[in-house]
Amino acid sequence: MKRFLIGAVLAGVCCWTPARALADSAANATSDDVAAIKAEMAEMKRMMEEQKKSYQKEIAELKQKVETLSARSAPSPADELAAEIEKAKGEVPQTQPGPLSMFFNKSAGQSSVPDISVLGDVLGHYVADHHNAANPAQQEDGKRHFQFREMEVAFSAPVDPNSKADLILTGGEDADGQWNMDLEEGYLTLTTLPCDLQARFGKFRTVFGKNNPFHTHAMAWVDRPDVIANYFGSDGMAETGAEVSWLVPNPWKKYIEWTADFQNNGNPESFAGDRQDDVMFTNHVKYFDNLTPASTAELGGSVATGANGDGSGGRTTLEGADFTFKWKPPAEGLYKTLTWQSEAILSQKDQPCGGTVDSWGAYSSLEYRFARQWRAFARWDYSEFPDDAHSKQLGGAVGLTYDMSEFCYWRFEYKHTSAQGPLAGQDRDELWLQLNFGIGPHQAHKY
Amino acid sequence: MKSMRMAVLTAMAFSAAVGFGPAPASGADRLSVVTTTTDLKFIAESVGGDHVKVVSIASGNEDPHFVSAKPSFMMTAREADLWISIGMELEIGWEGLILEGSRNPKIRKDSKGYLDASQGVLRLEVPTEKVTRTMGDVHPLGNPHYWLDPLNVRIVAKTIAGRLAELDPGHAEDFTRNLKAFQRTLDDHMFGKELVDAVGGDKLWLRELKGGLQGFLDEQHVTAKLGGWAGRMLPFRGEKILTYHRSWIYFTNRFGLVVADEMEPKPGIPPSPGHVLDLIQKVKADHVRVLLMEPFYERKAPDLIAEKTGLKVLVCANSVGGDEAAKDYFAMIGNVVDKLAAALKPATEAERE
Repeated sequence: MKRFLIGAVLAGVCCWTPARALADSAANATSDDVAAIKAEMAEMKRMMEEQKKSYQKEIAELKQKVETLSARSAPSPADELAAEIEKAKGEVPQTQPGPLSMFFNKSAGQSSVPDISVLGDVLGHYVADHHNAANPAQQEDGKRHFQFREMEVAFSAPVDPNSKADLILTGGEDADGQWNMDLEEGYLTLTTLPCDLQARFGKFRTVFGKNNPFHTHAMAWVDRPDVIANYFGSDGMAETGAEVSWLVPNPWKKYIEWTADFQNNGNPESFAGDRQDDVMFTNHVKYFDNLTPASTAELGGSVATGANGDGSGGRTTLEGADFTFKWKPPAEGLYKTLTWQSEAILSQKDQPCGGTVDSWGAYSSLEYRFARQWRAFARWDYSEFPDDAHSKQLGGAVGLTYDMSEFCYWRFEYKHTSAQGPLAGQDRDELWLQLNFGIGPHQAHKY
Repeated sequence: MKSMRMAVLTAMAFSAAVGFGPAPASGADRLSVVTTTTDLKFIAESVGGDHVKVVSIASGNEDPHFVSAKPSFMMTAREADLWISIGMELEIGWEGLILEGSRNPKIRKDSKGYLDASQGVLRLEVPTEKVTRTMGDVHPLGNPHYWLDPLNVRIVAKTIAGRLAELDPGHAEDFTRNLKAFQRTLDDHMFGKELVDAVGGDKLWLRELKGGLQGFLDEQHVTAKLGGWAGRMLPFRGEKILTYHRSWIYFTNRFGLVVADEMEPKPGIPPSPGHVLDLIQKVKADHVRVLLMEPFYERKAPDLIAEKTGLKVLVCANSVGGDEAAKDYFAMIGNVVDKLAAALKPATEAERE
């Protein structure tokens, strides 16, 4: 018990002493400490304010950066416009090619399929040969008939990046109504030769003069001029061989083309025909110039030579000159054009019995377009014959063409031919009605 | 043997001439550009600036469908670094002959020197069925007269600038700068300078393309600033007109006109008497007041319709250089807009009264 009391007293003393000290101390330090605490709190508050400002500044800067980055990633009006244009382009309907468009529509995109076109040429022909009484077997007086003169099937396509091929098959009725097919032309053109050269290999129309290189349907008349028919044949001259042509550079930058053909001498009128055993060689130079913005002139000169197959080494040499004037005022070109085309051929043909026949022929033609769908022409013809310079034909033709469209025309032609020399009296009057039409992308012909 | 001798002589002459003949001149400093039409020439000159020399094959006053492939054009194309065509088969009758005849490998269709300007444009009247000639001269790739829409010209300028930069990278920055200037001038003509300053050309074309230009201008309170061609043609939206050929569809589409019919019964087919009679009835029934035609078409049939109906015949070039007013592209479109506005305005005022 005694121990308990002593412990309690001691504990009381121990607890009483610090409490008392603290109370005394607080009473003594109150005013200073409060001031210090207040100062500390003020300092803390200031620091917090500063931090707040700093954070706010940083947030503002970050916001600015975010906005800038957002603005950078947004499309510009130009980009938006480009995207909208692409979108609008995608909404344009695409062409739906028809089942045959791969053959008749260049746009169908079948690059491996050649362009194929077909041309038809139908004639109604009336001949009044009423002066051929001396030879009744050949008399054609009153002869009249229809003839599918020509059906041309043309294939054309690049073969590779350096060449293109053209194949033109021609069929037609002969005088007996029999149908014959032939390869009119078939050649490969090398298009990427250096030094402005081009070359052709195969069968092609000989580049001699102005008319011969043109196909029948591209002429201004129903028939070929007499001089072409007598010296090259009624369809002109086309043989197998090789050709090189060159655009001749010149300081005036004028169009001068030089063409050299090296072909079989199989032409029956002037060369060897069926007895073909050699080659003929042709040179042609063409000069072209603009006279005014509406008119042009073209001059050509040609020479051809080759064995004529008479068995005695005889040769034929042909010289030709051609001139073409064209007038087409740009603003009225759909309705008014004028073409004046003239050509002359001189021939020296060795004869089997010795000697040489010097002969010649020429034509001059005027064609005038007086309305969008109408053209009229007149042509003067004079021709001798490669083997007979004494027989002469003098003719004149007039005609009218109605262009139903770009791809179809009707043509009427009247022609009178008077014969002189040994053929005297064999005058002919002829009437033709021609229908020419084409389907497919047949290319335009050269100027 | 004589043929052989001549052949050998010719071969020698060829060799000598090829070897020693004068080399073709080339523009070392400037790109030589040949365009098929004068409109493309103007654009190429504007974008190319001093770094290009441009020649056009067709003159502005002729029908570009029927240009003759004259050999002299082959000489022009022979020295070209870049050939630019309208495309969409507009030049199908003559372009191939000139390109082949030029013997210039740089401008072959598969090369960088050949540019079909239609590749980026917005096309109209693209057939959705098999195209046959019963339709007339319909182009399977769409109506090729796209240059009569100023937006397409803006696109073509960008296409040309891109190709010029490819061919002449050293001047790419100049081409870009010229392009911007050209587009800005075009925009000013189209919408008026004040509006372009306020909104920007790209934004205006964007809204125009989306079909909401009018609403956008109202929303932005800048409708009063609309000027230029768009401002002048605004009162005539929905107005019916006749055209001779189907060549104005891009123009009428852009400016809100409606082509009631064409003088040609089908594209490329001249007007027949029966069709002219039908048109007279249509003009009266639809109150058509204007016929728009190019200078290279005959006026006989249009004048007859005008005489019978009171319709006005407006002869306007649709290509640069097509008439005295069409000195450049802006003047050409401006001339059409002026003539249409003048022809349509009196009746509009009368209607308002």
